[in-house]
Amino acid sequence: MNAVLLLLGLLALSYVGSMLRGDRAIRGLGLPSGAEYLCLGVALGSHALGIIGRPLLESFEPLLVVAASWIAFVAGLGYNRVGARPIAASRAVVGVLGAMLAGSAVFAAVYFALPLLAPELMSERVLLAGGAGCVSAGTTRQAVRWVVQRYAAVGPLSDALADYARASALVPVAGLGILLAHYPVPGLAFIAFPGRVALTFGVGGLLGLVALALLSRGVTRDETWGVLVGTSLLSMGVAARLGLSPLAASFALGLCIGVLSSRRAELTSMVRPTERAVLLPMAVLAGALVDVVNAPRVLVLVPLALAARYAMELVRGLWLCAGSSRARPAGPLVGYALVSTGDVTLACAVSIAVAFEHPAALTVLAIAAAGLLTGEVVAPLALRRALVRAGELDLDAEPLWTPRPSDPGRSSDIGRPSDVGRSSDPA
Amino acid sequence: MSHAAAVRSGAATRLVQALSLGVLFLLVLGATHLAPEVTGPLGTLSAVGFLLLAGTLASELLETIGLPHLSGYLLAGILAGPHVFHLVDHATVEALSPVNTLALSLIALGGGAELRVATLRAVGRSVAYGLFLQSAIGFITLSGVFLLLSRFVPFASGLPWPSLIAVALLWGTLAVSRSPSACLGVLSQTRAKGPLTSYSLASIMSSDVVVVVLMACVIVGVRPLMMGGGVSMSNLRVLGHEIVGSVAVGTSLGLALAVYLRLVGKNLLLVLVALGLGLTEFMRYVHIDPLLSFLTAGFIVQNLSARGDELLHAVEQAASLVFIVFFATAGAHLDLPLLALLWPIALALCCARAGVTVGTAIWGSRLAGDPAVIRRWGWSSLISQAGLTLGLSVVIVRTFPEFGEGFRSLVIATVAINEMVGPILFKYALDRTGESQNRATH
Repeated sequence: MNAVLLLLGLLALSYVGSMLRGDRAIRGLGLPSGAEYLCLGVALGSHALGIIGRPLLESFEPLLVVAASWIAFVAGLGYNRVGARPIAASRAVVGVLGAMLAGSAVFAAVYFALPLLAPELMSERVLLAGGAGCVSAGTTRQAVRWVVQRYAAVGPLSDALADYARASALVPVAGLGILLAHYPVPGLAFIAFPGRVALTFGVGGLLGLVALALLSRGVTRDETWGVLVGTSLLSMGVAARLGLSPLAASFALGLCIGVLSSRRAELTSMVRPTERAVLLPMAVLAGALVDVVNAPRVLVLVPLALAARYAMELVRGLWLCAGSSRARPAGPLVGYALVSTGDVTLACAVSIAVAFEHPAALTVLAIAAAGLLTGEVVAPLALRRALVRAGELDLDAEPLWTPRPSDPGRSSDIGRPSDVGRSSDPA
Repeated sequence: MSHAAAVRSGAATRLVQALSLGVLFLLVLGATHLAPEVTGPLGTLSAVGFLLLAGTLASELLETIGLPHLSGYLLAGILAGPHVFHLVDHATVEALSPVNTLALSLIALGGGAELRVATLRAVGRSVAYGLFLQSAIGFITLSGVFLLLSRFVPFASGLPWPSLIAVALLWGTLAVSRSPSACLGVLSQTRAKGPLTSYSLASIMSSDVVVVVLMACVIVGVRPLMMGGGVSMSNLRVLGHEIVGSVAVGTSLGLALAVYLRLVGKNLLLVLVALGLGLTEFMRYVHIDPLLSFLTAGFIVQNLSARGDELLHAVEQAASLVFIVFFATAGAHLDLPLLALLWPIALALCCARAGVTVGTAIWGSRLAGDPAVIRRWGWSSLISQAGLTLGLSVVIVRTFPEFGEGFRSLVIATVAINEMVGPILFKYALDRTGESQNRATH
């Protein structure tokens, strides 16, 4: 396929993505993680239809890096809020700790099982285990939002799960920052490992401060876009040049602006529409990158990683039930409501696949894809079950495939200002 | 002045901008120092980001001394480019060519949409006189000047007479080309309105069409001088096909855009990017001039539908970022060592061009009975040269490789001078005539 044609196709997908962001679309069309576009990419990739071949994909790698990093930037910008509602600190801690548990479990499983299952991959042990941990740690915030909106669920458990999902984005991104800092470029080898990790987030933080300084000086809307796009590209570019994670630097940039800017709400409303417009083309390209034929030991390592994550999610469910009276009726399977991965995870997987030329990176991508697809099946069912048992969702309720005029209480996002402070955290 | 406008032009703001620019320079300089060997696609990312930010900040800082934003973008590019701080290398500058493609298509589309029939009627007489004199007298005079100075031009000194005449005619064609991008860039910054603005827009956009056609005719005409033989009718047929085809495709595109704007009207940014990148490639493939097509499309939307202003607004939004990178890249592309080598002859050719441009503009204005403001300042927008001229020089290099590279070097050197001086003169004229308006903060 010609590169220009592929670019036009991706722009068309971007167009579709920017249309699929209203409530109607959320309730009626598509999957929260964009898994169907991942499958489309697999179908178009070199091992199925062969329309998007490997050389063509390589020419699109910079676009993939930009798309993945932009998703991280948007996630960072809106990190501490769900809609207009700020996330309580206690819930943020629970969300981060839960994600760390899931990621650590997968890391440990792959790291310690590798000598037994795939001794020939020992030289890539950190990459495989770390990558698998990163792409198995997060929960997509969209999954909770979509189920809650489709079934008009209301209640503290819905809010808490949405908050945990939102807070979990930090873990895969930070993990990726740490992982890439483990492999420095020659010029950066003189800086110690912790220094390189700090540098990853420092680049984003520094450019975030520059952006804040510029945004505070009465810039126009076009100039605001210039500052946001310019600082994002620069953070990605500098981090990539130094062999660090562009995605982590972009997340730090977004986080810095989101936390410190007085114009956060305006900026979020500006960039949010771009999220899905970027995700869909990235999902297709990521799907085309998936290469189970050349990914070593994929049939062993993918089930291992999934098993480790699902086991740990059960532990997380038990922990939530033990700590929260609201979650208790939902039972320990509530942990599976948080198993769905999405845009940030996919971005991390793509970032790893692009950054490392070793086939082991393809195994990490395969783990991410498998996690995304299984999560798409398991998490909505588990979430529905949990919310029904918690009394927040009517079992007989029909899905809201289209917006109802007599439904004034449903906002476009599940965050509501009145919910601030309502908490049933186990923490 | 509004509070927001006061904040953005205050000393504290300038200090913040200067400090930010310093931080960005240090950051990129540090990264380049630590990883000097890293180039390629990932280096392009930081280059775009840096040129975007540094161009914006430099333009804001230079605004305090009355210079147009374009000068800031160029300066940022020159300083960051391969000949000064080497923050952006040659390969990266070349890799940014899609940005140039997109920018040129936006420039043409926006330029066409700026051409309202009512405006053309109002300034039609002035533009017609001006265009005729500048194109005819300018073309002949500047070709003659080149012939006179040819013994000082390194690549032309050994050429036989027929070839020398051919080169001079090609030079004369390039010398009457203007810069729509510089014109639109300065107008976008100053939000100018008035007779000089209307005249400049109409004149430069119309001259685009004239130059594209003139260049095609001259190439057909000088080929026998360079390679022997006669003027082939097949070449003229190809030229006719290209021009008629471009107008036809542009008309269809314009109608399609008008229908889209009426029926959907959303996501124009994505549509413009798709058109700018995808359709341009397609047009090149089928030998249709993208510039003329987009110019026609913009003209059709503006004058055959009620959606012209929507299109203009969308183009301005898209162009606000693309222009910065486009001009900063042009700055980075400037070959300073070459300019240092060729500056005496380049300066002489630029002075001759400026003199002829000013003279023919004033003469044309008098013949047309223009108002005093156009008689006095009508020439000011015609000095700039940029992307269009460089694009045409690439066509010459491809067509006549035997002298093309030397020719292109001289073009780059003269464009460098005109690119730096022209926007300053135009902004000065807009300021002096009172057509510049204070920028509103949204």
